[in-house]
Amino acid sequence: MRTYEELEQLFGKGEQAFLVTTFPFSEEAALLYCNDAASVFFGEGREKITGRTLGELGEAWKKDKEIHHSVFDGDMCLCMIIDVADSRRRLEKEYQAYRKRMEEALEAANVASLAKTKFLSEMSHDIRTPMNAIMGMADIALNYAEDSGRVEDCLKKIQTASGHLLRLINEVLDMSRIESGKLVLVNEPFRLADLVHEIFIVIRPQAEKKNIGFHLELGDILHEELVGDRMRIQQIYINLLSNAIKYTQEGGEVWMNLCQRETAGKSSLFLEVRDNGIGMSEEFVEHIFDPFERERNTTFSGIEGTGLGMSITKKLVDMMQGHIVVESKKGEGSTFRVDFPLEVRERERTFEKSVLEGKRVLVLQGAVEKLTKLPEILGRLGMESDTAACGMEAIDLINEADIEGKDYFALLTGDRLEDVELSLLLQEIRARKGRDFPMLLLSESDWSEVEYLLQQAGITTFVPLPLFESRLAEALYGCTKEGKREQEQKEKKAERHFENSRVLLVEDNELNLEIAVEILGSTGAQIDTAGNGQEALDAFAAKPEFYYDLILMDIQMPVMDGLEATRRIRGLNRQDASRVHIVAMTANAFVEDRRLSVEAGMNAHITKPLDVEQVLECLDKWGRR
Amino acid sequence: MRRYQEIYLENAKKVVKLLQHAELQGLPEEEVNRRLRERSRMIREMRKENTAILREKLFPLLDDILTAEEEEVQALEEFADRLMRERMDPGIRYYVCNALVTCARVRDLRRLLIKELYMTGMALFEFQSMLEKDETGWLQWKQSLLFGEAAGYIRFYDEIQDVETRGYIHRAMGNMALPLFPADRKSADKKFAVIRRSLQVLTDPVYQEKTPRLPWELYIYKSHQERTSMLSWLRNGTATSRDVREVMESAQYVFEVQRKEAKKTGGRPKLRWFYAYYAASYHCGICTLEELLRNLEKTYALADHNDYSQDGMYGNLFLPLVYSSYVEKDGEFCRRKKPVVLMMYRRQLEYLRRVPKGEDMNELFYYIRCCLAGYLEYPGENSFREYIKQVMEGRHLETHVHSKMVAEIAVLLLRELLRTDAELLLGVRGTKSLEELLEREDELLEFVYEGAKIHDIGKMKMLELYEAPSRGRISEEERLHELHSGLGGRILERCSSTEDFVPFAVGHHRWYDGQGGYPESYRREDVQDAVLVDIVSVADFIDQSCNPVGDYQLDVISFEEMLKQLKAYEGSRFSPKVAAAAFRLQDTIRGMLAEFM
Repeated sequence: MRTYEELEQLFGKGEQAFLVTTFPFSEEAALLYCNDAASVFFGEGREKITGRTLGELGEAWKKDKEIHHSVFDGDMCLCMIIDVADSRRRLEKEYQAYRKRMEEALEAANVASLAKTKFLSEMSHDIRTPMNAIMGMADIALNYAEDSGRVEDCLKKIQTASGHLLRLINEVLDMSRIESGKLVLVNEPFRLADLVHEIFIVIRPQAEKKNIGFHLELGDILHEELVGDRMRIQQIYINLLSNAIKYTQEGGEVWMNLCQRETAGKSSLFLEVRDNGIGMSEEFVEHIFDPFERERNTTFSGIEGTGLGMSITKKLVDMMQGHIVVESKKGEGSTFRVDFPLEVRERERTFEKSVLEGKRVLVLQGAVEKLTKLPEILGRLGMESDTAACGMEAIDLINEADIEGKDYFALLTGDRLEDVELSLLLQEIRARKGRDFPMLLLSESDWSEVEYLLQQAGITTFVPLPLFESRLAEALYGCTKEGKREQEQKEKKAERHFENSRVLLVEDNELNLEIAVEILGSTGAQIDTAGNGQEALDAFAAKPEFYYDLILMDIQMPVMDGLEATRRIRGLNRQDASRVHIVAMTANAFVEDRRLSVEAGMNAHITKPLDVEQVLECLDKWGRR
Repeated sequence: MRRYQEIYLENAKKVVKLLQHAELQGLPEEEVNRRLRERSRMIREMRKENTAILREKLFPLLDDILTAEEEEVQALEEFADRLMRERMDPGIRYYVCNALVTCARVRDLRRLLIKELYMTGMALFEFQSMLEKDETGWLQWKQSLLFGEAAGYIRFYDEIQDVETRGYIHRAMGNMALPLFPADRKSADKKFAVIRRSLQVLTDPVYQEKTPRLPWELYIYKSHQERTSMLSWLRNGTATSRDVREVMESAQYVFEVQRKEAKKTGGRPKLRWFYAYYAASYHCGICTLEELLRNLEKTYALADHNDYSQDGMYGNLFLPLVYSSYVEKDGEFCRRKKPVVLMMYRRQLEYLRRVPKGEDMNELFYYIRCCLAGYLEYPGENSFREYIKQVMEGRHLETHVHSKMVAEIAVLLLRELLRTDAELLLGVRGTKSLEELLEREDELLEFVYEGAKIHDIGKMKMLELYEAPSRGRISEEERLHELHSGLGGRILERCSSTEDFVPFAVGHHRWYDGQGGYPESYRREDVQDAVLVDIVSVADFIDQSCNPVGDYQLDVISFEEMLKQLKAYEGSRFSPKVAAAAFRLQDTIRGMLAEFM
């Protein structure tokens, strides 16, 4: 028989209640051992109950207990006491917690489902609305085919509606591709200047339409040549800016600040978009990046959108290993800050820096504050500059330069002066300095807005603001002897006559074929057509070697698709099989599909619908004999 | 010169002669009006002929200047020279010289280019001299460009052998200071620097040796003269010691030259240089204000009151102004020198009425401008309002006659409105009730009469525009003409006897509905007496439309045609109630104008 100490060692520390009695287990059985957990059922200390029979201990301790006993060490009984009431309580508690979790999950699922249902119902409405407009307008246009004015009006409306529809579909597709992990970021070189100006072109009219002041401030821009997914970066920026404009009342203000910081060979691009619009509630800010969320606002109804924009933005920023934060206060406006790292690319200089070095320019800053950094930029280009704050100062500087015999190479002017009518002054300077004197207009306005001024005042060229060093340098270089010579050569090269070129055009869609033939026809190139990959393969094989200069190949076609046809052409046993230029024509811009076309042996691709310039560029590059 | 150019010049001179006012002085009003009518007929005929010459001959040539024959270009150059020599028609001179600049640039004629750049700048300067410094705008910057470009040819000095052309380069360099006004530190510095550089070049022996035949002394003298004009800058009290020293140096230089000249001829230096010398001495701290005033009194005493030369005009017209401007600086002197100032003004007015228009017409006009801009009024002693009425009557009879007629029609209209629609007038001159309005009827009638009499006072600041109407107005002149209402307001706002009449001068060409006319700054709703201005506006329109004596640039129309136009503009250009009153009174008004129609 085990000693008390041994039993204590075995059962003393557990939470489960144990008794050890003499064998057999009955009313007469003596209690040999009781652990602490069991002693609480008896209401007395262990030392007082040990040695007594179970009968002596009464029945009270058995209430609401399950007692399981078994032979222990051959001559004893081990008895395990389970407090049923306590287990029930515990189970009940666990069940309640589980139930709560289930209810929450159900609610979340319901909310998500509701949001999706709501989204789908809104989307179907949103999609149906422009779709109806397109169909309706097309009907009207067909009915009034003779009335060119009416047809034009219908076409314009169709253009607007289809543009809207395309945006909607793109967002939905983006979201679905992001969620399914199919969206791949492209790492391609791009110029920050192009990116910013394109954004500007999109955003400015939106702001003007609502009479919103749009202020673009450039901080330190250390590198203009970057590597990244330009299209997606643009998408992020435009999303934020469009939202700022959308949620700002007429007459409000939107600020965009862009700067760069450099860390370990990478350049982080920082963007801040701030507005003084309607702002957001704290609750909504927490959910702003959730898909399908749009804040309901009774005073600001009629705002279009899928509710996916911010969610897509967040996911894109995450994919770029960036950060996005938002601050907002209801009624006071919102601020979004986004940053992500981008690789820096060495700047490709299109001309020797020495061409501009030492040249002296006159900067007529006038009332354009954004030109304050201009002398610094010119300094970086090795140029000298004098700055005139107003028209009269510019005149003084021109006079001084003439008297001192220090001619200016060029005049850089803003588009606003307070003391002098700019166009009149520029006309006078043009007359005085002659027609070859470069006068560059720096303006935030769109080209079309300043075109009149350019023509009237004899402006040589236009440099858009905000000002990027590369843009300015190129514009100034274009005014030098070297730049002009280069331009002349380019123009000579660009004369597009392709009478001796032979092109095989492979396209199954008759309308697309017609368009492509129309575009190519204007160049004088000889065009053969094929309706699918097989026909193209047959046509190529039937012609003598090096007959075709260029094959423009659709991808998706019946009988044989473009990829297969390309593979087969490349596999033919003839000298030109690997050398003929095959260009894919596709509306599919996915990176993975582009990769497939390259793998199939295609040289490049152009997007559909075909753009005249793109086709001509292709011909220029590969179709010239 | 071509024959048509000769005719143009002859006509222009005839017009100037016709406008000599002396012959009408002392005649009875009826006779004056008859002669004015006749004068109007003749001037209008010549204006028509000269306008046709410009339209048919000159402007087509200017349009095709790039293809013009060499002889034509030469004739044009002579024509411009002649206009310049006789100081006539800066407007047409500007057009001709500017066209010659274009021609010279395209044909690469350096001599012609430099000369015409200078000449174009001078034509603009004559325009500019009519205006106050903050109104010059494009005239100023364009002059700077023109003179600056001509001066810039100093780089090619050795290549340019022609003495005359070299002369234009130096003159242009000196004239770069002309369009600059020392309005603040920066602009004053600029003007000083330009003159300093000009003097540096002019006194450089290298240039003098290269072109010994140029009148160097004269050029240097002119530059010092221009720097002496910076006395106005010294008067504002923010000049630096360098500014004062340079002005003093120039004043002394000019005074010395004058003294030497006077010694040779046995006369005395010109009065303006006495003033410049004394004023510069005062600003340099050499003499006190009291001494300056005493010296100016002495200088004034030298002026001959029958001397109508430039010097005489300076002494009789300009000196009282500079004297009073210094008196005004000190309350004590203001009090003590009151009798002197009043005496000078009295004599000045007499002289002003008497002085004939001669070759120095432009100087006279300049002094008239100064008289209107710098008058010192002692309330209860000398009324600026009376002064300007007399200046107008004495110096521009047409405006006086027109204003008098406007005043009479305005009184008629006001009386009619008081009788038929007094509520419309409630509030004018601070009236609070209809009873008060009717009680103060005489005062109101007098107020509108006086306002109408001086509503065109701004024209007196640009007499060059109205005193030589030998052709139709060109666009630059039309722009200047439109400034007359604003300029009038500025004249009137200076003195207590005229300040209440400012709205009449400023608002009489602004439309009732605020949608047209000028100046845009006149806002009817902000003016307490706007209804009275409406009345003068209608009266002005009636008289200027039908009365051939007034602005010779405006075509006269029949009374019936005028009524038609009045009707057409009812509610837009003119107050409908005032126009309606004019319709009711049309017979009476027709009778008033009959004398001139």
